[in-house]
Amino acid sequence: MSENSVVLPSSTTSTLSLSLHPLPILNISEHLTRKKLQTGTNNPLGSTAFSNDYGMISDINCNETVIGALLGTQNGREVEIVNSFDLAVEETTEIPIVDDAFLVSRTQQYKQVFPSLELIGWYTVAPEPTILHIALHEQLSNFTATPILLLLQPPTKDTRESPALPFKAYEPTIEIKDRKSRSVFVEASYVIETGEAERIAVDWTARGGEGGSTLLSNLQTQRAAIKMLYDRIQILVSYVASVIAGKANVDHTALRSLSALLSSLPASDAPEFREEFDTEHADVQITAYLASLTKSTNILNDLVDKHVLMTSAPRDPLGHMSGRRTRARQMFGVLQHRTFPIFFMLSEVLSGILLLLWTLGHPEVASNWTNPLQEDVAQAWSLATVLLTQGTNDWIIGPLTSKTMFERHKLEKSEGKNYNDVGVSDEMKALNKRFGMLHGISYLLSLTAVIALTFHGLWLGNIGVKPY
Amino acid sequence: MAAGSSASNALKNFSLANDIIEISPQDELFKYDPIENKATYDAALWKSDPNHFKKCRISAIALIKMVMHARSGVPYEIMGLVQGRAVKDSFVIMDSFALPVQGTETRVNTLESANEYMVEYLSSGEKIHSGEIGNALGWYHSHPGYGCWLSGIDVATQSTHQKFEDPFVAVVIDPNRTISAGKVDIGAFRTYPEGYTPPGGGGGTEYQTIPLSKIEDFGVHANQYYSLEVEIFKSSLDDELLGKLWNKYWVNTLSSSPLISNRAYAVSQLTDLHNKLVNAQKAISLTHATLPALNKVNSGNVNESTQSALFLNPAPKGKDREVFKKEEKKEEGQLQKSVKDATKIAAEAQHGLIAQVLKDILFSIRPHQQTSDPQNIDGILETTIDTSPSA
Repeated sequence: MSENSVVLPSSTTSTLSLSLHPLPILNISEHLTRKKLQTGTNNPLGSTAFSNDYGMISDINCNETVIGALLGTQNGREVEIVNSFDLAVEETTEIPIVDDAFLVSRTQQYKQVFPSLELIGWYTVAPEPTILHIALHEQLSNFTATPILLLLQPPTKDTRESPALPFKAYEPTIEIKDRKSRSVFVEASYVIETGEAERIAVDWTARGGEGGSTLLSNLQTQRAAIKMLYDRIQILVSYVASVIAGKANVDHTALRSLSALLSSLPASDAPEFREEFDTEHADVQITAYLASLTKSTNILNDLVDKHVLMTSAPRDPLGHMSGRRTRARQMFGVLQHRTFPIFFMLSEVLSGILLLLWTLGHPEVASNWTNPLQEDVAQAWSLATVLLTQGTNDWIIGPLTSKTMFERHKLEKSEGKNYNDVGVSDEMKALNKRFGMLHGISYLLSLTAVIALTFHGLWLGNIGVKPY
Repeated sequence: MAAGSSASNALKNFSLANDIIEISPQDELFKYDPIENKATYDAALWKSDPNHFKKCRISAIALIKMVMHARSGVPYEIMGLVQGRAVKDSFVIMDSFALPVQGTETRVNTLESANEYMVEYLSSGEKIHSGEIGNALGWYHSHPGYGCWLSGIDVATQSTHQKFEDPFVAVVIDPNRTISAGKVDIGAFRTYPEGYTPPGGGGGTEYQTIPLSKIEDFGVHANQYYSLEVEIFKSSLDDELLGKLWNKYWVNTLSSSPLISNRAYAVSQLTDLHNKLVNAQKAISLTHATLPALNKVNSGNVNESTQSALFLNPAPKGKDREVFKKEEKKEEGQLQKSVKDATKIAAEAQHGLIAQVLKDILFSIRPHQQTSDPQNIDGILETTIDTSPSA
């Protein structure tokens, strides 16, 4: 029997200052969505809806009624609703009975993690409070003194188009009328409060949680907020313009508050504020400067490294500066490559001339040259040996050795290691072996030439080698 | 009287029935199909393929609860559980709840009381929903100020969970970085089973700024897990409400002061950067440039190969080039990393400053007074763009 609404008329408003966080709002919305989908119905209040005398539409067969508890903090008349959770209800009777044990245990569990939160009230889904809600209210009064009621108005076409949130908050109170007291609800106005982290999270989910450049998204958020401010200012401006033009009614309260607002600009003129602001500005710019400096240092370092790489010879990866010594050695090799042929050439030519003169001076050599034991022929043979060995050196071994040496230089340059370092590559080892072999052969040939010449010289000088 | 009320109720009924709201496709995720669910869990494809899960979809309220819990716990690390179910190759996280433990980085197993809490919460939760929220699907914890990755202890914890309670996901949130950057810093991870080497290298792919004290822990374990793509989902009613909410909390956006709220974090970042630069200074003499190397010489030593002569071998094709590029990346010096860190710090500070200057312009200008502030904001924007990492 509800001839009187359980809500006091709107001239009476609650004196509570109520702050609502976005989290309970989203919680309630998800609770509703889940139940809606669970029962597979489109009607948010139940499929086989029937009305009972209490004006509550619900389906008794399954646990569909959307009821939950609100958690928050209360300081005197300041109430802040921070979180919420679903409640279990038994619906065997027409008035749902809240499961007390569950309510208590859940509240305790939340208290363990967030000690400051208490049970503040409860929520449900309905267009406006009815006697049923008073009954539920009685149940919940056992747990907290004045449970606030938060109603989510079921989404209809009207609520969707209006820009206001479809939530209404009510404070329970006692109305004394005709010497009878009954519990009624008084509508309370609320503001939305967010913490910094909550705001960012809500904002991010609202935008779909995409990543993207932070500068861009930051500027977008700022722009959106400023646009809201701008829109509202526009409304005020147009109102004042129409008042001046005489078209609108003069509302003195509004005009007074507007004037107060304008005179409070600029927000702060104190020099300390300016100083603080400028210091902060400078701090941030110094941070940017630091970043640029670090970047420049890095680029400079890169440049220096590359310069070093280009202008020096292959470096030992261990970091030793063997560049100079390696270069000197390689230059010496080039020098050898240039001067040896001249030396060999001289040997060849001179020994050739000597051989010729000898053969001419000792004509029997030419006819008997197969018999090296003959004294003159032996000398001819010596000279011929010199000619032969140096010839070989000049024309065959010399070029081969040079070629090998240059190949090794190239490999040294590319690998960055000297040929005699530990742990050189196999290719280098092969080259080393080859070079060693060729060099050895050349050395032997030269040695043979020297011995032959000494023998010839001694014979000429009649020293030790007995002419026979 | 009764007739009157029942008539009005009938009217209400009728109008409600006519304002039927369609279930939008967006809400599909909220629907719980027990048969499909059972089929998924029976097949258990995640047991055979360590890389099976690719995405993690988190509902709006789960995310907000986790972020708020993480923020409220600073400077401690907090942890909690997430509930949901596995759908095809993604985790769908419907809800989360906090656990009364702190400092999760020091031990693998949570306290006994936390286990009790967990069990009680989950079992009593069955009274209010019949499976649409799902079972415990993973755990989340926070890394206040040092990024989203798994430390050695985290990897061990997650591996244990994956062995016994698969499917399970690890979510990490950094509340400090969230506030500093203005967007939620969150990551979802799965560990590889022991002895499994991921194809092509695991670990995080993007560079993250990690404080010196933690960087070793990060590097050692980076290959033992991989990250999932994180997506947020919300119902259509949520969307509506969020749109309307914006009408109310835009004031908070304007009035927030990220420079002031982040002061402690910014200071710690700068100290860390200072330490990194000192380290870089010691190592600077060892840096050397590498020739643009083209191919590996058959020497078996990677370092040598990067210095082979240009004219010896032609450029590598295809796979070789990729492998080569990865090696080049690993050689980033300490100084280069410090550059990235410095840029990030500067960019975030600039964002905070932009907010302050905007407010200054709005609220501190007297009418008919020309100030140099418009030039100010241009200058700041230029600096921000210059110092942004892409530049």
